[in-house]
Amino acid sequence: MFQFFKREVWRERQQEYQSPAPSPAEGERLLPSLSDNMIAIRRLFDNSADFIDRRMMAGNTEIALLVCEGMVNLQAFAELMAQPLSDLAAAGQAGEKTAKSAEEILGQLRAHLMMGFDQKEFYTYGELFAFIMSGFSVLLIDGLALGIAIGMQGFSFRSISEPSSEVNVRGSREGFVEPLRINLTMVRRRIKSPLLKFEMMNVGVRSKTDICLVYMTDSVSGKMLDKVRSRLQSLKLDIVLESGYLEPFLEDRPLSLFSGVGTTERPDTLCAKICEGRIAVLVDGTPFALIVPYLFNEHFQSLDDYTHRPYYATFIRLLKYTAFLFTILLPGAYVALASFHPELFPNALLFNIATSEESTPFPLMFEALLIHFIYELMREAGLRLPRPIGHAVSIVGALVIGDAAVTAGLIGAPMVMVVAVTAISSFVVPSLYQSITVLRFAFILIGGTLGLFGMTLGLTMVLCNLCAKHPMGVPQTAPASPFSLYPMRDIFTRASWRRLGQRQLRIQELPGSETDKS
Amino acid sequence: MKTSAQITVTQFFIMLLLCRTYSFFTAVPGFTEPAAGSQALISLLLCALLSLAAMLPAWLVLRRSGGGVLQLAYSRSQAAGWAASTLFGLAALFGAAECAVQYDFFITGAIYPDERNIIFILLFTLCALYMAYMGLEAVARLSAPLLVLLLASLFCIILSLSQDFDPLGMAPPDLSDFSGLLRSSYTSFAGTGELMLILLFLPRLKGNAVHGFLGWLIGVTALLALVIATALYTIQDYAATQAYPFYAIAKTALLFGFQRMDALHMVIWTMIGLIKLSLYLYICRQCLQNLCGPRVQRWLLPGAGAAVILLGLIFSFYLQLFRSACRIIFSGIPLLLLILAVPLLLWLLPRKKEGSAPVEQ
Repeated sequence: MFQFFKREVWRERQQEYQSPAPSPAEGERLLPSLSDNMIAIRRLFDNSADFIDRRMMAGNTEIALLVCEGMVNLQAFAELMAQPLSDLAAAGQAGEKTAKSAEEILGQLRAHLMMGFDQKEFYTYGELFAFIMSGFSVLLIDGLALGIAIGMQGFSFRSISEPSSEVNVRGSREGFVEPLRINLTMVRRRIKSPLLKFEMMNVGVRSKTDICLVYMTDSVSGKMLDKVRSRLQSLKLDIVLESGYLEPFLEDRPLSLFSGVGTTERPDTLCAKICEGRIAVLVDGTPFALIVPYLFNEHFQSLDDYTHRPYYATFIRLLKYTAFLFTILLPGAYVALASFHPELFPNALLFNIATSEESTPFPLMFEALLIHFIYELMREAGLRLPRPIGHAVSIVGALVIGDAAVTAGLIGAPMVMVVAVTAISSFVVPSLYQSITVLRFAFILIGGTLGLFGMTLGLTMVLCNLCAKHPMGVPQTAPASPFSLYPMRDIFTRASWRRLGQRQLRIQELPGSETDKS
Repeated sequence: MKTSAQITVTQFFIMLLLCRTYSFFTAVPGFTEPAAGSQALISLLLCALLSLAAMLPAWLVLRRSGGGVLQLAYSRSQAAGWAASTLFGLAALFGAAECAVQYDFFITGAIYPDERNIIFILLFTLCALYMAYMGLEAVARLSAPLLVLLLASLFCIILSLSQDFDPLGMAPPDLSDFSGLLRSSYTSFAGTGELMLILLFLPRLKGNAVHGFLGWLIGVTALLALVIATALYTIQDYAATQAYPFYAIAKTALLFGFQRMDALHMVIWTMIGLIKLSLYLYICRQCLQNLCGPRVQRWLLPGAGAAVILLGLIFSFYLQLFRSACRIIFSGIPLLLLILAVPLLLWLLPRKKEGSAPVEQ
């Protein structure tokens, strides 16, 4: 029987999906003949409806313009490309001594005509498609086995607005948008230093998604950078549509409870992180940037902490830590204590709990699981519903959970309080919501079956799991453990800026870090 | 699982401090001969001096040879290495089983009197197994915050009991029974299995191990003295009637709105016990790997865990067997054998020209 399963697992692994190799035609070089090129391009494009080509004569030489419909800024196209090319064509017709051969036309384009700042030459069909599909206008000249791509992107995109997932009271209202280039400008505007480096790559065999590594050359660890670079370059994914696709490949333990890769929608947050030696990864098509390595304590930090007074920021920081503990432990602890250790409740509270639970038909653990499940259902429904009817969800939730369930005697009133406190606490640390949800259910199950003993074992295992993580060689629990006094000024408390500004800390300098200090 | 883990001296001795306090607080008085009243404070001091004296020869030997006791054994001969790995492996196995059984006695005696032993031994060991699998560094990183939590809880307990302090509880120590005092100190020293761990973990420590050891001795003595003094000043004779005096203190302490502290005490002791058990399991795995080689590496830790569960269940069901085993342990002979006789014997053996090293450095 065991051998049978072993064979089945082996067979399953042999049939693992293999990412398709790029089409060989995409690596082929362009041909000198324009007609042959156009035949090949139309064949590869398979008469796609958004592909537009236009031919014209410049003297004796034929030129072809290739664009994707809707991707090009028509006004820029008219001013920067159409007019100069038309002048070129007109001069050729008039018989003036202007460029006649392909090489002369190319020389004219290179030396005298500026059709755009972003002007590149390329030699393969793969590059041609990449440029056209990125909003470039492409120029092919009969007789030359190369193409010229001119950047005049004009596709529609969402305007810069306040990030939805990271709202701050004070600070910039700008958040990243989908086009990568615009995000790069937002970062560059905030760090006007030549030490800020953008390193472009593309990932996804089919999608060829542009990504950009962002780091400060004087702060980043060379070893860490090499590791990130090699992991991204060795990716074998078909398409990459969101930064979340890349996250597991940047982590050492992708199945761990807590991620060593952080995300942010804010350019100011990203700038602060990279100045500490971290590496950011911006992905075209998504406003969520990745940051590596990401320590556990960073989930409890926000930009507001650094704009508020230190005493208030410290209070909010401690509140967040308390909220995190509440949200994962409160339901399980309540179930554990009420089921196994009622003597630990103060007498008045115990009486109230006993009275309310006496009338409910279900065991406390089942009650907790049921109500949390309903809450998660409603939360998910609220996320997916169209906004006009989203309000109905909150009304239904209030009525169903807050009133009807208690009145009907299905659940006790203390349980509703526990759910309410838990739910509100979970929104205090939104970046940990995934871990929180799983842990909450796990602790309810553990507390309901094993009591406080089980809760302790579970908590110890979770803490050990957290302590075992070292994203990119940096302990995730640093600087709390291994302990370092100076970095602790920004962990449970937030020291004043006079103290914070005394010495620049780099992530690789934290104790226990395995990366180089250079 | 990382096999070349290195931890700092501070982290290691914090782990040992937690292990020592765990042994002290969950030890069932019937197996030892505790000194009565304020004599216990003198006993602690003498125990510390005994530990220092016993470790000195081993430290001198290992300082000359470099590395730990297993490295020393393998540098003499393969047979010496196997013998040392077997001895220390068995000691670690017994230490792990004893830890699980002590925890079982505590939890079924004080908190869950109606539950079956097998549940606690099984789950406790499985959890420690997971921690050992996570690696030495993870356990070491967990220890420091746990020490902070322990000290904070002690502070809260002492603060809540401060109004009940009775100076009459601390009678002057009776030094006329010096032999009894020595006997008590020696028994306490005999139960300090952490000394064996020091010899095994030396190669993995970054920092000055001597400073760490001295700090550990002072820290343990001070901490245990504080707890004994608290017991003497507050619950006094009531402590003598309790199987777990410190748990009794935690139960009686009422801190503001938090009321009883025994739940917090239980949580902290469980976590400390898990750290101790995971350390011993880690040593078991290392010794087994030296004996079995790297081929069966993935099965060593589960195998050690299974052995600990089996031994723990046998001890919990056959109490007389456990008492006999503890009697041997608290005679001090096994500890002196491991920390004194083995290093000196190995030092006397001729060095092998091409000595093989343990599998795991």
